Amino acid sequence: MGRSKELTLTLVTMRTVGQGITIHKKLHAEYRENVGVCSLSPSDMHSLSVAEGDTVRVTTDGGSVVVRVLAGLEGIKGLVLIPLGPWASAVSTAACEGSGLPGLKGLEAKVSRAPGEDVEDVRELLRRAVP
Amino acid sequence: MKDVVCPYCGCLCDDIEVRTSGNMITEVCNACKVGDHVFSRPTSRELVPRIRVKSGDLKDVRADHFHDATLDESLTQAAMLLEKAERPVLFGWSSTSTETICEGLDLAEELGALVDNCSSFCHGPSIQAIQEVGISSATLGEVLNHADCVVYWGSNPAASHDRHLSRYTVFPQGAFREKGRDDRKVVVVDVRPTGTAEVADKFIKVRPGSDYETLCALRMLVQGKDVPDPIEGVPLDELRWLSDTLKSSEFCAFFFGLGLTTSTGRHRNVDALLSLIRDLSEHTKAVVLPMRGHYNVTGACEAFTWRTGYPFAVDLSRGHPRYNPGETDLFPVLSSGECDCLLVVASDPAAHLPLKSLGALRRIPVIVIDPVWNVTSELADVYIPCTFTGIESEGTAYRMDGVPVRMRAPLSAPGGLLPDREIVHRLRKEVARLREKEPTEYS
Repeated sequence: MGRSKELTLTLVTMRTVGQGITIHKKLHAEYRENVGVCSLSPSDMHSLSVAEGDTVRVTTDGGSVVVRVLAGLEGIKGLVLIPLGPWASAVSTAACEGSGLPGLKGLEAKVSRAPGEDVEDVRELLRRAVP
Repeated sequence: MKDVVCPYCGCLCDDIEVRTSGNMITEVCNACKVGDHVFSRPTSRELVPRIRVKSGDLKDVRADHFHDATLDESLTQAAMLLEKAERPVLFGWSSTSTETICEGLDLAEELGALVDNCSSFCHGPSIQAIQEVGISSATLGEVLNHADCVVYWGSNPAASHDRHLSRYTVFPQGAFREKGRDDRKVVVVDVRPTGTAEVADKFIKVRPGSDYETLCALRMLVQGKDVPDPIEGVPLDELRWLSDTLKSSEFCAFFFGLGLTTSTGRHRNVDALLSLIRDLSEHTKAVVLPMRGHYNVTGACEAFTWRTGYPFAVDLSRGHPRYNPGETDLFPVLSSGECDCLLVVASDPAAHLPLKSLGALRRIPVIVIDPVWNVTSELADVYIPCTFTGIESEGTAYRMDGVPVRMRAPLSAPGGLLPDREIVHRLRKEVARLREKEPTEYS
Protein backbone atom coordinates (compact mmCIF):
# COMPACT_ATOMS: atom_id res chain seq x y z
CA MET A 1 0.00 0.00 0.00
CA GLY A 2 1.36 3.41 -0.95
CA ARG A 3 2.19 6.11 1.57
CA SER A 4 0.76 9.64 1.15
CA LYS A 5 1.62 12.96 2.67
CA GLU A 6 -2.03 13.93 2.54
CA LEU A 7 -5.35 12.10 2.19
CA THR A 8 -8.70 13.51 1.16
CA LEU A 9 -11.27 11.99 3.53
CA THR A 10 -14.85 12.68 4.61
CA LEU A 11 -15.23 14.41 7.97
CA VAL A 12 -17.99 13.07 10.22
CA THR A 13 -18.54 14.46 13.71
CA MET A 14 -19.77 12.10 16.42
CA ARG A 15 -20.61 11.67 20.06
CA THR A 16 -18.35 9.69 22.41
CA VAL A 17 -18.55 8.59 26.02
CA GLY A 18 -15.25 10.38 26.69
CA GLN A 19 -16.82 13.62 25.52
CA GLY A 20 -19.76 13.07 27.87
CA ILE A 21 -17.75 12.34 31.00
CA THR A 22 -15.63 15.48 30.56
CA ILE A 23 -18.52 17.80 29.66
CA HIS A 24 -18.11 19.85 32.84
CA LYS A 25 -14.32 20.10 32.51
CA LYS A 26 -13.96 21.88 29.19
CA LEU A 27 -11.01 24.02 30.20
CA HIS A 28 -9.13 21.01 31.59
CA ALA A 29 -6.52 18.87 29.84
CA GLU A 30 -8.80 15.84 30.31
CA TYR A 31 -11.36 17.37 27.92
CA ARG A 32 -8.73 18.04 25.26
CA GLU A 33 -7.45 14.46 25.61
CA ASN A 34 -10.97 13.12 25.00
CA VAL A 35 -12.33 15.59 22.43
CA GLY A 36 -9.30 17.02 20.59
CA VAL A 37 -8.94 13.66 18.86
CA CYS A 38 -9.89 11.87 15.69
CA SER A 39 -10.42 8.32 14.55
CA LEU A 40 -8.97 6.96 11.32
CA SER A 41 -9.12 3.51 9.80
CA PRO A 42 -5.98 1.34 10.14
CA SER A 43 -5.41 1.52 6.35
CA ASP A 44 -5.67 5.34 6.27
CA MET A 45 -3.32 5.52 9.26
CA HIS A 46 -0.88 3.31 7.37
CA SER A 47 -1.14 5.46 4.26
CA LEU A 48 -0.38 8.57 6.29
CA SER A 49 2.35 6.82 8.29
CA VAL A 50 0.74 7.78 11.57
CA ALA A 51 0.24 5.70 14.71
CA GLU A 52 -2.05 6.05 17.68
CA GLY A 53 -1.07 9.13 19.67
CA ASP A 54 0.42 10.98 16.68
CA THR A 55 -1.05 14.30 15.65
CA VAL A 56 -2.66 15.02 12.28
CA ARG A 57 -3.84 18.26 10.71
CA VAL A 58 -7.42 18.28 9.41
CA THR A 59 -8.32 21.02 6.93
CA THR A 60 -11.71 21.82 5.41
CA ASP A 61 -13.30 24.86 3.76
CA GLY A 62 -14.24 25.92 7.32
CA GLY A 63 -10.70 25.96 8.76
CA SER A 64 -7.83 23.83 9.99
CA VAL A 65 -7.05 22.11 13.28
CA VAL A 66 -4.56 19.66 14.77
CA VAL A 67 -5.99 16.62 16.58
CA ARG A 68 -4.51 13.46 18.04
CA VAL A 69 -5.17 10.05 16.49
CA LEU A 70 -7.03 7.90 18.96
CA ALA A 71 -7.51 4.17 18.65
CA GLY A 72 -10.52 2.39 20.08
CA LEU A 73 -13.11 4.48 18.26
CA GLU A 74 -14.91 3.08 15.25
CA GLY A 75 -12.48 4.06 12.49
CA ILE A 76 -13.59 3.31 8.96
CA LYS A 77 -11.72 3.72 5.67
CA GLY A 78 -12.33 7.05 3.99
CA LEU A 79 -13.72 8.76 7.10
CA VAL A 80 -12.11 11.01 9.69
CA LEU A 81 -14.27 11.01 12.81
CA ILE A 82 -14.01 13.86 15.34
CA PRO A 83 -16.11 14.22 18.52
CA LEU A 84 -18.40 17.27 18.62
CA GLY A 85 -16.66 20.12 20.43
CA PRO A 86 -14.28 23.04 19.89
CA TRP A 87 -11.87 21.07 17.67
CA ALA A 88 -14.65 19.84 15.37
CA SER A 89 -16.06 23.39 15.36
CA ALA A 90 -12.71 24.69 14.13
CA VAL A 91 -13.31 22.85 10.84
CA SER A 92 -17.11 23.00 10.57
CA THR A 93 -18.55 25.21 7.86
CA ALA A 94 -21.08 28.02 7.84
CA ALA A 95 -23.21 26.29 5.18
CA CYS A 96 -26.60 25.86 6.85
CA GLU A 97 -28.67 24.60 3.87
CA GLY A 98 -31.71 26.65 4.89
CA SER A 99 -31.49 25.75 8.57
CA GLY A 100 -29.56 27.54 11.31
CA LEU A 101 -27.33 24.52 11.73
CA PRO A 102 -23.70 24.68 10.57
CA GLY A 103 -22.26 21.85 8.46
CA LEU A 104 -20.97 19.09 10.74
CA LYS A 105 -21.03 15.89 8.70
CA GLY A 106 -19.95 14.80 5.27
CA LEU A 107 -17.41 17.58 4.69
CA GLU A 108 -14.40 17.01 2.47
CA ALA A 109 -11.29 17.12 4.64
CA LYS A 110 -7.58 17.02 3.84
CA VAL A 111 -5.73 15.04 6.49
CA SER A 112 -1.95 15.12 6.83
CA ARG A 113 0.68 14.24 9.40
CA ALA A 114 1.50 17.01 11.84
CA PRO A 115 4.84 16.00 13.38
CA GLY A 116 5.94 18.43 16.08
CA GLU A 117 2.55 20.13 16.25
CA ASP A 118 0.49 19.76 19.42
CA VAL A 119 -3.27 19.89 19.88
CA GLU A 120 -4.25 23.45 20.78
CA ASP A 121 -6.08 23.98 24.05
CA VAL A 122 -9.47 25.68 24.15
CA ARG A 123 -8.04 29.12 24.93
CA GLU A 124 -5.60 28.93 22.02
CA LEU A 125 -8.48 28.03 19.72
CA LEU A 126 -10.58 30.94 20.96
CA ARG A 127 -7.70 33.38 20.37
CA ARG A 128 -7.79 32.34 16.71
CA ALA A 129 -11.39 33.58 16.43
CA VAL A 130 -11.43 37.13 15.17
CA PRO A 131 -14.42 39.14 13.93
CA MET B 1 -32.23 9.11 48.05
CA LYS B 2 -34.17 6.99 45.53
CA ASP B 3 -35.87 7.94 42.26
CA VAL B 4 -33.40 10.70 41.50
CA VAL B 5 -33.53 11.89 37.87
CA CYS B 6 -30.30 12.08 35.88
CA PRO B 7 -29.83 15.57 34.38
CA TYR B 8 -27.71 14.63 31.37
CA CYS B 9 -29.46 13.31 28.25
CA GLY B 10 -32.99 13.12 26.91
CA CYS B 11 -33.52 9.68 28.52
CA LEU B 12 -34.04 11.43 31.89
CA CYS B 13 -33.51 8.13 33.75
CA ASP B 14 -35.62 8.43 36.91
CA ASP B 15 -34.41 5.33 38.76
CA ILE B 16 -31.10 6.69 40.02
CA GLU B 17 -30.16 6.12 43.64
CA VAL B 18 -27.59 8.31 45.33
CA ARG B 19 -26.00 8.13 48.74
CA THR B 20 -24.84 11.35 50.32
CA SER B 21 -22.57 12.33 53.15
CA GLY B 22 -22.61 15.91 54.31
CA ASN B 23 -23.40 17.78 51.11
CA MET B 24 -21.48 15.38 48.89
CA ILE B 25 -22.61 12.46 46.73
CA THR B 26 -20.61 9.41 47.76
CA GLU B 27 -22.25 6.72 45.62
CA VAL B 28 -24.41 6.64 42.50
CA CYS B 29 -26.38 3.53 41.52
CA ASN B 30 -28.11 2.68 38.21
CA ALA B 31 -26.61 5.60 36.25
CA CYS B 32 -24.61 5.09 33.06
CA LYS B 33 -20.92 6.01 32.93
CA VAL B 34 -21.66 9.58 31.88
CA GLY B 35 -24.48 9.98 34.42
CA ASP B 36 -22.09 8.81 37.12
CA HIS B 37 -19.71 11.66 36.21
CA VAL B 38 -22.54 14.21 36.00
CA PHE B 39 -23.56 13.45 39.58
CA SER B 40 -19.92 13.67 40.68
CA ARG B 41 -19.89 17.32 39.47
CA PRO B 42 -16.62 19.23 39.07
CA THR B 43 -14.50 19.32 42.18
CA SER B 44 -13.62 22.98 41.64
CA ARG B 45 -16.81 25.04 41.49
CA GLU B 46 -17.31 28.69 40.74
CA LEU B 47 -19.22 30.18 43.68
CA VAL B 48 -18.76 33.90 43.04
CA PRO B 49 -19.97 35.97 40.06
CA ARG B 50 -17.29 37.56 37.89
CA ILE B 51 -17.24 40.72 35.79
CA ARG B 52 -14.72 41.31 33.00
CA VAL B 53 -12.31 44.21 33.29
CA LYS B 54 -12.58 46.16 30.02
CA SER B 55 -9.33 45.76 28.08
CA GLY B 56 -9.68 46.92 24.50
CA ASP B 57 -12.16 46.26 21.70
CA LEU B 58 -11.31 42.58 21.27
CA LYS B 59 -11.72 40.45 24.39
CA ASP B 60 -8.82 38.21 25.37
CA VAL B 61 -9.31 34.83 27.02
CA ARG B 62 -7.44 35.17 30.29
CA ALA B 63 -8.84 34.56 33.76
CA ASP B 64 -7.06 37.61 35.18
CA HIS B 65 -9.28 39.83 33.05
CA PHE B 66 -12.12 39.29 35.56
CA HIS B 67 -12.81 40.54 39.04
CA ASP B 68 -15.12 38.98 41.63
CA ALA B 69 -18.46 40.67 42.18
CA THR B 70 -21.57 40.35 44.30
CA LEU B 71 -24.73 38.89 42.84
CA ASP B 72 -26.39 42.32 42.90
CA GLU B 73 -23.45 43.96 41.09
CA SER B 74 -23.38 41.26 38.43
CA LEU B 75 -27.15 41.42 37.91
CA THR B 76 -27.04 45.21 37.54
CA GLN B 77 -24.18 44.97 35.05
CA ALA B 78 -25.96 42.21 33.07
CA ALA B 79 -29.23 44.17 33.05
CA MET B 80 -27.46 47.32 31.82
CA LEU B 81 -25.81 45.41 28.95
CA LEU B 82 -29.09 43.78 27.92
CA GLU B 83 -31.16 46.93 28.34
CA LYS B 84 -29.00 49.07 26.08
CA ALA B 85 -28.67 46.42 23.35
CA GLU B 86 -30.66 46.89 20.15
CA ARG B 87 -30.63 43.22 19.15
CA PRO B 88 -30.26 41.12 22.33
CA VAL B 89 -30.27 37.34 21.93
CA LEU B 90 -31.12 34.95 24.77
CA PHE B 91 -29.78 31.45 24.06
CA GLY B 92 -29.54 28.04 25.74
CA TRP B 93 -32.39 26.85 28.01
CA SER B 94 -31.80 23.15 27.34
CA SER B 95 -29.91 21.90 30.41
CA THR B 96 -32.14 23.51 33.00
CA SER B 97 -35.69 23.32 34.32
CA THR B 98 -38.81 24.25 32.40
CA GLU B 99 -39.54 26.81 35.16
CA THR B 100 -36.26 28.58 34.30
CA ILE B 101 -37.14 28.51 30.61
CA CYS B 102 -40.46 30.24 31.36
CA GLU B 103 -38.57 32.95 33.29
CA GLY B 104 -36.28 33.32 30.27
CA LEU B 105 -39.24 33.75 27.93
CA ASP B 106 -40.61 36.46 30.24
CA LEU B 107 -37.25 38.23 30.07
CA ALA B 108 -37.20 37.90 26.26
CA GLU B 109 -40.65 39.49 26.07
CA GLU B 110 -39.57 42.30 28.41
CA LEU B 111 -36.55 43.02 26.21
CA GLY B 112 -38.09 42.35 22.80
CA ALA B 113 -35.25 39.88 22.29
CA LEU B 114 -34.57 36.99 19.97
CA VAL B 115 -34.78 33.80 22.05
CA ASP B 116 -33.42 30.46 20.86
CA ASN B 117 -32.60 27.07 22.35
CA CYS B 118 -30.17 24.27 21.54
CA SER B 119 -32.58 22.79 18.98
CA SER B 120 -30.99 25.09 16.43
CA PHE B 121 -27.75 23.08 16.91
CA CYS B 122 -29.29 19.60 16.84
CA HIS B 123 -32.88 18.74 15.96
CA GLY B 124 -34.03 22.08 14.54
CA PRO B 125 -34.22 20.46 11.08
CA SER B 126 -36.31 17.65 12.63
CA ILE B 127 -38.80 20.20 13.92
CA GLN B 128 -38.93 21.88 10.50
CA ALA B 129 -39.70 18.49 8.92
CA ILE B 130 -42.30 17.61 11.57
CA GLN B 131 -44.05 20.92 10.87
CA GLU B 132 -44.17 20.08 7.16
CA VAL B 133 -44.96 16.35 7.24
CA GLY B 134 -46.43 15.61 10.68
CA ILE B 135 -45.23 12.83 12.95
CA SER B 136 -46.55 9.50 14.14
CA SER B 137 -44.95 9.19 17.54
CA ALA B 138 -45.22 7.34 20.86
CA THR B 139 -43.92 7.43 24.39
CA LEU B 140 -40.92 5.31 25.30
CA GLY B 141 -43.29 3.27 27.50
CA GLU B 142 -45.36 2.35 24.45
CA VAL B 143 -42.21 1.36 22.57
CA LEU B 144 -41.06 -0.75 25.54
CA ASN B 145 -44.34 -2.64 25.75
CA HIS B 146 -45.21 -3.02 22.07
CA ALA B 147 -42.27 -2.65 19.68
CA ASP B 148 -40.96 -5.82 18.02
CA CYS B 149 -38.73 -3.97 15.56
CA VAL B 150 -36.45 -1.10 16.58
CA VAL B 151 -34.39 0.91 14.08
CA TYR B 152 -31.70 3.46 14.95
CA TRP B 153 -30.91 5.64 11.94
CA GLY B 154 -27.96 8.05 12.18
CA SER B 155 -27.92 7.69 15.93
CA ASN B 156 -25.47 5.98 18.27
CA PRO B 157 -27.07 5.78 21.72
CA ALA B 158 -24.18 3.60 22.93
CA ALA B 159 -22.23 6.89 23.07
CA SER B 160 -24.96 9.51 23.51
CA HIS B 161 -27.90 7.89 25.38
CA ASP B 162 -26.28 4.92 27.05
CA ARG B 163 -29.36 3.41 28.77
CA HIS B 164 -31.79 3.96 25.91
CA LEU B 165 -31.57 0.34 24.79
CA SER B 166 -31.40 -1.22 28.24
CA ARG B 167 -34.19 0.82 29.78
CA TYR B 168 -36.67 1.52 27.00
CA THR B 169 -36.27 -0.15 23.63
CA VAL B 170 -34.24 -3.35 23.18
CA PHE B 171 -33.37 -5.37 26.27
CA PRO B 172 -36.14 -4.98 28.88
CA GLN B 173 -39.27 -7.10 29.02
CA GLY B 174 -42.42 -5.35 27.86
CA ALA B 175 -46.09 -6.16 28.46
CA PHE B 176 -46.31 -7.75 25.00
CA ARG B 177 -42.59 -8.50 24.62
CA GLU B 178 -42.06 -10.88 27.52
CA LYS B 179 -38.78 -12.28 26.18
CA GLY B 180 -37.21 -8.84 26.01
CA ARG B 181 -34.35 -8.81 23.51
CA ASP B 182 -35.41 -12.12 21.94
CA ASP B 183 -38.81 -10.66 21.04
CA ARG B 184 -37.32 -7.77 19.08
CA LYS B 185 -35.42 -7.22 15.84
CA VAL B 186 -32.87 -4.43 16.03
CA VAL B 187 -31.50 -2.62 12.99
CA VAL B 188 -28.85 0.11 12.84
CA VAL B 189 -28.39 2.28 9.74
CA ASP B 190 -25.30 4.46 9.87
CA VAL B 191 -22.18 5.52 7.97
CA ARG B 192 -20.02 3.43 10.29
CA PRO B 193 -20.39 0.33 12.49
CA THR B 194 -21.07 2.08 15.80
CA GLY B 195 -21.18 0.65 19.29
CA THR B 196 -24.95 0.39 18.91
CA ALA B 197 -24.50 -1.67 15.72
CA GLU B 198 -22.64 -4.31 17.77
CA VAL B 199 -25.88 -5.32 19.51
CA ALA B 200 -28.06 -5.08 16.40
CA ASP B 201 -29.37 -8.00 14.35
CA LYS B 202 -28.54 -6.10 11.18
CA PHE B 203 -26.24 -3.19 10.36
CA ILE B 204 -26.78 -1.37 7.08
CA LYS B 205 -23.97 0.94 6.03
CA VAL B 206 -24.87 4.05 4.05
CA ARG B 207 -22.52 6.52 2.41
CA PRO B 208 -22.15 9.89 4.18
CA GLY B 209 -24.72 12.28 2.72
CA SER B 210 -26.85 9.58 1.07
CA ASP B 211 -29.55 9.11 3.72
CA TYR B 212 -32.17 10.94 1.66
CA GLU B 213 -31.69 8.70 -1.38
CA THR B 214 -31.61 5.57 0.78
CA LEU B 215 -34.80 6.55 2.61
CA CYS B 216 -36.56 7.37 -0.65
CA ALA B 217 -35.57 3.98 -2.09
CA LEU B 218 -36.86 2.27 1.05
CA ARG B 219 -40.15 4.16 0.70
CA MET B 220 -40.47 2.88 -2.88
CA LEU B 221 -39.85 -0.71 -1.75
CA VAL B 222 -42.44 -0.37 1.02
CA GLN B 223 -44.86 0.90 -1.65
CA GLY B 224 -44.08 -2.16 -3.80
CA LYS B 225 -42.17 -0.28 -6.51
CA ASP B 226 -38.98 -1.31 -8.27
CA VAL B 227 -35.68 0.38 -7.48
CA PRO B 228 -32.24 -0.09 -9.04
CA ASP B 229 -29.48 -2.12 -7.41
CA PRO B 230 -27.50 -0.85 -5.52
CA ILE B 231 -28.79 2.40 -4.03
CA GLU B 232 -25.89 4.71 -3.13
CA GLY B 233 -23.75 1.67 -2.36
CA VAL B 234 -26.41 -0.16 -0.35
CA PRO B 235 -27.20 -3.55 -1.93
CA LEU B 236 -30.85 -3.84 -2.90
CA ASP B 237 -31.16 -7.12 -0.97
CA GLU B 238 -30.41 -5.31 2.29
CA LEU B 239 -33.04 -2.65 1.69
CA ARG B 240 -35.56 -5.26 0.54
CA TRP B 241 -34.88 -7.26 3.72
CA LEU B 242 -35.44 -4.11 5.79
CA SER B 243 -38.66 -3.27 3.94
CA ASP B 244 -40.01 -6.82 4.46
CA THR B 245 -38.95 -6.85 8.12
CA LEU B 246 -40.65 -3.53 8.81
CA LYS B 247 -43.86 -4.44 6.98
CA SER B 248 -44.14 -7.80 8.73
CA SER B 249 -43.52 -6.37 12.21
CA GLU B 250 -46.40 -5.68 14.60
CA PHE B 251 -45.01 -2.37 15.88
CA CYS B 252 -41.86 -0.77 14.53
CA ALA B 253 -40.15 2.16 16.22
CA PHE B 254 -37.55 4.38 14.53
CA PHE B 255 -35.11 6.59 16.42
CA PHE B 256 -32.96 9.08 14.55
CA GLY B 257 -30.12 11.40 15.48
CA LEU B 258 -27.76 14.03 14.14
CA GLY B 259 -26.73 11.61 11.38
CA LEU B 260 -29.83 12.86 9.58
CA THR B 261 -30.13 16.44 10.83
CA THR B 262 -26.55 17.65 10.40
CA SER B 263 -25.65 15.93 7.13
CA THR B 264 -26.45 17.00 3.60
CA GLY B 265 -30.20 17.40 3.19
CA ARG B 266 -30.87 18.43 6.81
CA HIS B 267 -34.66 18.66 7.25
CA ARG B 268 -35.26 16.91 3.91
CA ASN B 269 -33.62 13.77 5.33
CA VAL B 270 -36.04 13.84 8.26
CA ASP B 271 -38.89 14.65 5.87
CA ALA B 272 -38.11 11.40 4.00
CA LEU B 273 -38.02 9.39 7.24
CA LEU B 274 -41.32 10.82 8.50
CA SER B 275 -42.85 10.05 5.10
CA LEU B 276 -41.54 6.47 5.35
CA ILE B 277 -43.34 6.13 8.70
CA ARG B 278 -46.53 7.36 7.02
CA ASP B 279 -46.08 4.77 4.25
CA LEU B 280 -45.40 1.99 6.77
CA SER B 281 -48.60 2.88 8.61
CA GLU B 282 -50.48 1.37 5.67
CA HIS B 283 -49.02 -2.00 6.71
CA THR B 284 -48.28 -1.92 10.43
CA LYS B 285 -48.02 0.33 13.48
CA ALA B 286 -45.03 2.59 12.92
CA VAL B 287 -43.68 5.40 15.09
CA VAL B 288 -40.60 7.63 15.10
CA LEU B 289 -38.83 9.71 17.73
CA PRO B 290 -35.88 12.11 17.50
CA MET B 291 -33.06 11.27 19.92
CA ARG B 292 -33.08 14.59 21.78
CA GLY B 293 -29.73 15.23 23.43
CA HIS B 294 -29.74 17.82 26.24
CA TYR B 295 -31.89 16.58 29.07
CA ASN B 296 -34.55 19.29 28.78
CA VAL B 297 -34.25 20.52 25.20
CA THR B 298 -37.66 18.90 24.68
CA GLY B 299 -38.98 21.00 27.57
CA ALA B 300 -37.49 24.10 25.97
CA CYS B 301 -39.44 23.40 22.78
CA GLU B 302 -42.61 22.73 24.81
CA ALA B 303 -42.33 25.95 26.82
CA PHE B 304 -41.35 28.05 23.79
CA THR B 305 -44.42 26.71 21.98
CA TRP B 306 -46.84 27.37 24.86
CA ARG B 307 -45.61 30.90 25.21
CA THR B 308 -44.87 32.02 21.64
CA GLY B 309 -46.38 29.44 19.30
CA TYR B 310 -42.97 28.36 18.02
CA PRO B 311 -40.50 25.79 19.43
CA PHE B 312 -37.15 27.57 18.87
CA ALA B 313 -35.56 30.50 16.97
CA VAL B 314 -38.24 33.00 18.08
CA ASP B 315 -37.76 36.69 17.35
CA LEU B 316 -39.80 38.97 19.64
CA SER B 317 -38.21 42.22 18.48
CA ARG B 318 -41.31 43.36 16.58
CA GLY B 319 -43.56 42.93 19.59
CA HIS B 320 -44.99 39.66 18.27
CA PRO B 321 -43.32 36.27 17.71
CA ARG B 322 -41.58 35.61 14.38
CA TYR B 323 -40.03 32.26 13.49
CA ASN B 324 -37.84 31.62 10.49
CA PRO B 325 -35.13 28.98 11.01
CA GLY B 326 -32.05 29.90 9.05
CA GLU B 327 -32.65 33.57 9.85
CA THR B 328 -33.78 33.77 13.48
CA ASP B 329 -31.50 31.18 15.11
CA LEU B 330 -28.35 32.03 17.04
CA PHE B 331 -25.80 31.16 14.38
CA PRO B 332 -27.23 33.34 11.56
CA VAL B 333 -27.73 36.38 13.82
CA LEU B 334 -24.20 36.06 15.18
CA SER B 335 -22.65 35.51 11.75
CA SER B 336 -24.48 38.47 10.23
CA GLY B 337 -23.31 40.79 13.02
CA GLU B 338 -26.91 41.57 14.06
CA CYS B 339 -26.61 40.34 17.64
CA ASP B 340 -25.16 43.05 19.89
CA CYS B 341 -25.57 41.32 23.27
CA LEU B 342 -25.82 37.61 24.09
CA LEU B 343 -27.22 36.04 27.25
CA VAL B 344 -26.45 32.33 27.56
CA VAL B 345 -28.24 30.26 30.20
CA ALA B 346 -27.41 26.56 30.76
CA SER B 347 -25.56 26.05 27.50
CA ASP B 348 -22.15 26.39 25.90
CA PRO B 349 -22.55 27.61 22.31
CA ALA B 350 -18.89 28.66 22.01
CA ALA B 351 -17.94 24.96 22.17
CA HIS B 352 -20.12 24.16 19.17
CA LEU B 353 -20.29 27.21 16.92
CA PRO B 354 -17.93 27.27 13.92
CA LEU B 355 -14.72 28.84 15.19
CA LYS B 356 -14.88 31.57 12.55
CA SER B 357 -18.16 32.86 13.98
CA LEU B 358 -16.81 33.10 17.54
CA GLY B 359 -15.01 36.31 16.66
CA ALA B 360 -18.39 38.01 17.09
CA LEU B 361 -18.46 36.95 20.74
CA ARG B 362 -15.11 38.65 21.36
CA ARG B 363 -16.61 41.95 20.25
CA ILE B 364 -20.11 42.01 21.81
CA PRO B 365 -21.17 41.79 25.48
CA VAL B 366 -21.76 38.21 26.62
CA ILE B 367 -23.49 37.18 29.85
CA VAL B 368 -23.30 33.57 31.05
CA ILE B 369 -25.44 31.94 33.77
CA ASP B 370 -24.23 28.36 34.29
CA PRO B 371 -23.21 26.02 37.11
CA VAL B 372 -19.72 25.60 35.59
CA TRP B 373 -17.14 27.81 33.93
CA ASN B 374 -17.35 26.66 30.31
CA VAL B 375 -15.95 27.71 26.92
CA THR B 376 -18.50 30.52 26.49
CA SER B 377 -17.59 31.82 29.96
CA GLU B 378 -14.09 32.51 28.61
CA LEU B 379 -15.68 35.12 26.34
CA ALA B 380 -18.14 36.44 28.95
CA ASP B 381 -18.36 39.96 30.31
CA VAL B 382 -20.50 38.82 33.22
CA TYR B 383 -20.51 35.29 34.62
CA ILE B 384 -23.04 34.26 37.27
CA PRO B 385 -22.74 30.77 38.78
CA CYS B 386 -25.88 28.86 39.79
CA THR B 387 -26.91 25.48 41.17
CA PHE B 388 -27.01 22.25 39.16
CA THR B 389 -30.70 21.68 38.42
CA GLY B 390 -31.64 18.11 39.28
CA ILE B 391 -28.79 17.79 41.79
CA GLU B 392 -28.80 20.95 43.91
CA SER B 393 -32.23 22.38 43.03
CA GLU B 394 -35.53 20.89 41.89
CA GLY B 395 -37.35 21.47 38.66
CA THR B 396 -39.36 19.92 35.84
CA ALA B 397 -37.88 18.49 32.65
CA TYR B 398 -39.39 16.80 29.60
CA ARG B 399 -38.08 13.44 28.45
CA MET B 400 -37.30 13.02 24.73
CA ASP B 401 -40.80 11.57 24.20
CA GLY B 402 -42.50 14.60 25.77
CA VAL B 403 -43.21 13.05 29.18
CA PRO B 404 -42.65 15.59 32.00
CA VAL B 405 -40.53 14.37 34.91
CA ARG B 406 -40.06 16.13 38.24
CA MET B 407 -36.38 16.31 39.16
CA ARG B 408 -35.37 15.97 42.80
CA ALA B 409 -32.43 17.64 44.51
CA PRO B 410 -30.33 15.22 46.57
CA LEU B 411 -27.97 18.01 47.64
CA SER B 412 -28.51 21.53 48.95
CA ALA B 413 -27.10 24.57 47.18
CA PRO B 414 -23.38 25.06 47.91
CA GLY B 415 -22.01 28.43 48.99
CA GLY B 416 -25.38 30.18 48.85
CA LEU B 417 -25.76 29.65 45.09
CA LEU B 418 -29.22 30.31 43.68
CA PRO B 419 -31.04 28.27 41.02
CA ASP B 420 -30.83 29.83 37.55
CA ARG B 421 -34.63 30.25 37.72
CA GLU B 422 -34.23 32.73 40.57
CA ILE B 423 -31.28 34.50 38.89
CA VAL B 424 -33.16 35.00 35.60
CA HIS B 425 -36.21 36.23 37.56
CA ARG B 426 -34.08 38.82 39.40
CA LEU B 427 -32.43 39.81 36.13
CA ARG B 428 -35.84 40.59 34.63
CA LYS B 429 -36.76 42.68 37.66
CA GLU B 430 -33.47 44.56 37.32
CA VAL B 431 -34.12 45.26 33.64
CA ALA B 432 -37.56 46.60 34.55
CA ARG B 433 -36.04 48.74 37.32
CA LEU B 434 -33.56 50.28 34.88
CA ARG B 435 -36.48 51.08 32.62
CA GLU B 436 -38.24 52.62 35.64
CA LYS B 437 -41.28 50.44 35.27
CA GLU B 438 -42.88 47.57 37.15
CA PRO B 439 -41.96 44.15 35.71
CA THR B 440 -44.80 42.79 33.62
CA GLU B 441 -46.54 39.75 35.05
CA TYR B 442 -46.89 37.31 32.16
CA SER B 443 -48.34 34.29 33.95
